Amino acid sequence: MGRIAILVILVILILVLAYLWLQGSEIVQPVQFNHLKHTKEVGLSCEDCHIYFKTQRFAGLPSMEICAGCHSEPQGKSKEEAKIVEAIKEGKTIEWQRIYRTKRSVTYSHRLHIVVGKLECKVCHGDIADAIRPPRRPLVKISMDHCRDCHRKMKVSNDCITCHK
Amino acid sequence: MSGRKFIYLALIPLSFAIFLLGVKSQTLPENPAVGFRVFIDKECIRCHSIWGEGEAIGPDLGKVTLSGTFLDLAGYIWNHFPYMHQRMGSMRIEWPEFSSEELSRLVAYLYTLEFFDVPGNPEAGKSLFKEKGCLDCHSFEGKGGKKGPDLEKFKQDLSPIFMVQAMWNHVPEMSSLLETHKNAWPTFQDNQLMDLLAFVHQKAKGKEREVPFLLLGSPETGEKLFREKGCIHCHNSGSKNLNLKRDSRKFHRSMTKIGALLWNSAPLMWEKGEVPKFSGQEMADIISYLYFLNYADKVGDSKKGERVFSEKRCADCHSPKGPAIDFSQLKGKYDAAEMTTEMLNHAPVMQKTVEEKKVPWPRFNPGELRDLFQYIGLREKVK
Amino acid sequence: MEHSRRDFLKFLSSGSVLAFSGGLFPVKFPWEDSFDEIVPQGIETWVPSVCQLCPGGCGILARVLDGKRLVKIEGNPLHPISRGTLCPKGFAGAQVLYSPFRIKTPLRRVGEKGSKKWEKINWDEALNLVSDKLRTLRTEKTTYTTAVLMGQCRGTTRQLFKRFLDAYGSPNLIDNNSYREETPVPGVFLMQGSPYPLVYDLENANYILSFGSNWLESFWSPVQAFRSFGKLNDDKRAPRGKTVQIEPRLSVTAARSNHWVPINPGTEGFLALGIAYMLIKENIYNQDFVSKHTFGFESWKDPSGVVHSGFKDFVLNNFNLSDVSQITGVSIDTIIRLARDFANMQPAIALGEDNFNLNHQNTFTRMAIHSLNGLMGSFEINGGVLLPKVPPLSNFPSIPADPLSTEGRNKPRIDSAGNDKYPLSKDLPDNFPDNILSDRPYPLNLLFIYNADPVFTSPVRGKFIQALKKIPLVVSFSSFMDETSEYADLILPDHTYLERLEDDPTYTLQGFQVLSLRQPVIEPLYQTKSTPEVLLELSRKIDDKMSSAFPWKDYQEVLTFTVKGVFDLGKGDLFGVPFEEIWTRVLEKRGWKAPSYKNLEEFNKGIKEKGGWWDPVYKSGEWDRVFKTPSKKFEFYSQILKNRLKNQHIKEDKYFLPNPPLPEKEEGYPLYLRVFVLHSLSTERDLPSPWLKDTAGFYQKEKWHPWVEINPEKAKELGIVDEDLVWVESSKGRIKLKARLFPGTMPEVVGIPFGFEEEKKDFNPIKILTEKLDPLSGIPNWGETKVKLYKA
Repeated sequence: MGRIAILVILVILILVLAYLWLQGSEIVQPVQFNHLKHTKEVGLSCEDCHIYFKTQRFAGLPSMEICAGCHSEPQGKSKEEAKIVEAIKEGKTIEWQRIYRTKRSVTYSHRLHIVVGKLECKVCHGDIADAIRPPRRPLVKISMDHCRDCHRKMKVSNDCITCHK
Repeated sequence: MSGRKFIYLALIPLSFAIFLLGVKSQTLPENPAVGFRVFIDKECIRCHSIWGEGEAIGPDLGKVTLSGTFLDLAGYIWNHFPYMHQRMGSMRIEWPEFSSEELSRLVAYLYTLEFFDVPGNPEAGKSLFKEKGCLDCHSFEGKGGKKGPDLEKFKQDLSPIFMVQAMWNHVPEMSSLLETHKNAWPTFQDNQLMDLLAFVHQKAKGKEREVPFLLLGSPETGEKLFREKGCIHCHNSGSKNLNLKRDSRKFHRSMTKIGALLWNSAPLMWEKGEVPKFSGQEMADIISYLYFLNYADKVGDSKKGERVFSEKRCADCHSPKGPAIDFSQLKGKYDAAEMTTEMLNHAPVMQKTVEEKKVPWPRFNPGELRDLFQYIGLREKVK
Repeated sequence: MEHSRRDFLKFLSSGSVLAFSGGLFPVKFPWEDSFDEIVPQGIETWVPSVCQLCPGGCGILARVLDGKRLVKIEGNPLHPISRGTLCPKGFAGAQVLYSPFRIKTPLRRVGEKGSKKWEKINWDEALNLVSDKLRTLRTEKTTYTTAVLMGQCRGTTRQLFKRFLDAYGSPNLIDNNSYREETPVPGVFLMQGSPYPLVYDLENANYILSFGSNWLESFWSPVQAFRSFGKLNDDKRAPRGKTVQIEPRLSVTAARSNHWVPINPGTEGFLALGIAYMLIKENIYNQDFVSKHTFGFESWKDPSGVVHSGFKDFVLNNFNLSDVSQITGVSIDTIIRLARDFANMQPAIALGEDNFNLNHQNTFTRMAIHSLNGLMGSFEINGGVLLPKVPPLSNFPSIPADPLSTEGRNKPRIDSAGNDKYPLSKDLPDNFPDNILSDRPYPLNLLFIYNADPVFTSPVRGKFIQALKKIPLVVSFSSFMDETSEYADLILPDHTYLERLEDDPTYTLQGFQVLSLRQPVIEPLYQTKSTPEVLLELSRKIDDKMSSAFPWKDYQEVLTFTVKGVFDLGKGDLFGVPFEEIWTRVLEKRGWKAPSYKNLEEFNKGIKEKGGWWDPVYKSGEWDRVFKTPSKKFEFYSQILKNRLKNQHIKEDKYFLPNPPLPEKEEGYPLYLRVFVLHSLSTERDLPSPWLKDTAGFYQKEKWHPWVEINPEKAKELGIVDEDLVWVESSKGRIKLKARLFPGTMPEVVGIPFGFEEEKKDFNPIKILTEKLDPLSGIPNWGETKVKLYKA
């Protein structure tokens, strides 16, 4: 009797955790943004929307002003675009969700990696420029090993304090 | 005159000026001091010190004499590449990649090092002051002549260029005085002017100048001044006494040594007539022009170049059938600076090949690179 | 991205489910490191400025988010003093800025003085209160009854204070700072005669013999000292530098030195002369230097035929090793070794205490220590003793003629500095309260206090409190409610250093002039006002004569004017990477320059962007400047002292030679008290930073509260065990502290850290320190305090 109860509880626990895992780790964007269209067809560069990655630690998700630069009037017939046009007209903000997040104990700077280290965005963000819909999780899984491998290859300091400061 | 004609006429001198500028930018370097930034950026400073400052792994560049033209100096870098590369490897420094502009700046900077004098010895300066007869007119600590100002009234921290300028400009007063006194014209050798200056520094108490130092002069302005002030009337390629073309190497020496040259021959020049006076900046520019005379390379000898090409075994690889790029295809593709840059940038790759083939690293004597490039064929100058 | 079934199975089979929790779940487990949402985000800027938590003058870079929030302070990598690093105090600056104890508006006293009852008033009202008083004093022609008590302050602000008092008509600018910018310690002054402090080129020395100078903890420029220590011990250096610490207590410096020599308190001078004895006896001193550049070494006959005894005979006759060993408690072997090392490991420096108020050394003891530098000729060389120049700010135009102010200016000083009793004093802050209380030479009507906190730092704090109560109007410019400000009538709060615009001229340990710019990293948080601005405003409010002496619109204009002096010098360059330093130096030595600016505009802009200007050249060998004594030489026999004491008709030569006094005994108080200054608390102000108080007692693992260190054997004798509460009593009073047994304290000595003021707790050892002042210089002699100890 007791054994079965424990087993049942364990299975329920596993199921609950699995559910949380599947649910919680996926990030759904409010608008199904098409990166490919912007980069290849319109010819925008990353910096046109993520305006801070060359000067700041963070890259910056685009603000409504940046979207409004083109989308105050509809540019095509996409339903997703309509959401943006509407939000701009109503003065609402679209809450883009961050997919890549660093731990609090880590100091990461886009500027250092892009400007000083001369890395390409691809190294960490994969083929995001060619994505036709927003990914629900990072295209490249970033772990500490990943960072350390790259630091080793690039002959950058691997001291703890380089990142954990 | 119609408007259009006027414009055409105006275009003639303009195009001539552009032509001159184009030529000049190829022969004379810009302000050489900017090259020191390349020296840091390319991490040369991690091994080479300058006048005892910096790491002392490689030779102290301030202490070796780096004479020769642009290509000669670039040749030095090339010649000691294998050794340098090995040391750099052990220190985990990567061989830097140069742009042609960076390399030109770096080499110009190395050429400039000789320009700066060794600080003088005030004790030696003191005895010089008496020996050379300065004491007849100038006084210090109450002793000496009264014709010139006392040393205490001299400006503090007088820059060598100001000293050379002041000496030059008062040549007429001096020479008349000296004639009546029947003194021989005092001349200066070696570092004597710096010794004298060190002594003057010790005694001078006068208020500091508004700008006590001058920037390094600009060789380009110097060339212009050389023409405008009329120096070129006597010192041209046809003159006997000082032929700029023939004696260009003579001026690759430190600033006060050039100053001493000017000074020592001053009576000769003044005999021939009125000689212009210079402001401090003008003096700096002129001297810097003279200093850089030997910098530009002369046109090489294509035949000698061919010999170099085979002797150094470039032909093993860089011939039409060789594995590496065919030199004959390079004809007219690069100018001298670009060619050198390409060479240095591919040095690590070449070293591997050379080692595999057990060919000695090709070393170039002064002048050989010039000839080699002539043989390969340089791009014609922009017109 | 979709999850396949296989993924899921993999997940299940991986064993511990919890191991996967890291970062995957939206729920946050307590052991998990949180994501960065709570870390402030914003557009960052790095603003270069200068730290002011000690006199060191380190360049800082402040990381500011969105231009209004300071999140981090780091060292400015271009700044020649800090070179990208900082000390713990520097990092704690953010806590100073955001301290809850800041004064946010001008305050006026409501209740009795010291009753801590205040009302908030606005700036106009506050300034009118002061300017009314100033105007009244001017109409009454008693301008000289105004004084300024000044702590750490230099550059243009200092000049402005001086000018304010000069134009107003008062001689009373009283320096109350432990490291005085414009005064050398008296012992050094007597031998060198130069009116400016010295620096020691620590990083290039091979041997540092420190007589009680806690240079790795409470040095005037800690970051430079730390870096020098690093360079001394660099493994590329051959041989490595050696450091010796001579001190009764195992301080941080002693613990890090190669050799610690415990010595009986107050006898450092004897040891120095013992070493001098050896140097002379073995003939290993620098004879060339001594014969060329010193005075009074050999005995000599003066023009009137009197034979004077020189340093050599004086030392050989009076300081033989066995006597010295007995007095100091240092073995003869050790003295011999110290002397030989000092002579052999050139360049060597004998370091003494260069602080004024904190742990001041007796003038003659200091002379004895400095005489070793004279014997070895450690002057004007790399790794020796240098006399730096301060960046030449332009001088203000002369003050418009005003008989009233001239008269006031020529009155005697309120602190009687330079009188016959204290002939070596330039400022006498600790004599000041005595004079106030006895109305000598005249009663004081108005006192300004800037950056000083004498009630916290002066042994005569009791008298200070009475004096502050007596003065009709006391105006404090403090940003915090410190002990002294509690007795003020009016507080005109200054910005903290992170909100202020100011220049900061100083120098490095290599004697290079440095001018840094302190600029506001954020807008002022509260209704505070920069004190120099207040001075300008006051001058405008007093009368036309005053305002004509201050023709500037605002402080920025004053600063532009003074900083131009440095531009006019035409040397040096803006801060840059180390190679630019070399470039500037080699060029300048050869008489050239290639500065990174072309005109004044670019110069000013560059100073703002890079943090400042400097001249990385020290011109050595200017002996006339370094030795400003009557003989123009280093004087073992101080003619300056002889001149100053002319009126006292002293004939004996030994009075003008380094002749340290024996420490006195005091009946009933058998122990010597050694108050040491911790790094984290080494400013004369109680910094409101929890980080600093947390790191206070490193060896004892003590924080927040002070303690008393006792030798374990002595403790056993007194029946005290570790962490007992004990009374420490001197003839002046007693304080209750936690006893910590510390084998690094000599048996006859007890140690207490300075600082730690907390309300209602009698912690501060200043309360039991002797009020005796040094007879020549009038500086308090802390070291002469004797105490007894008993269980509470």
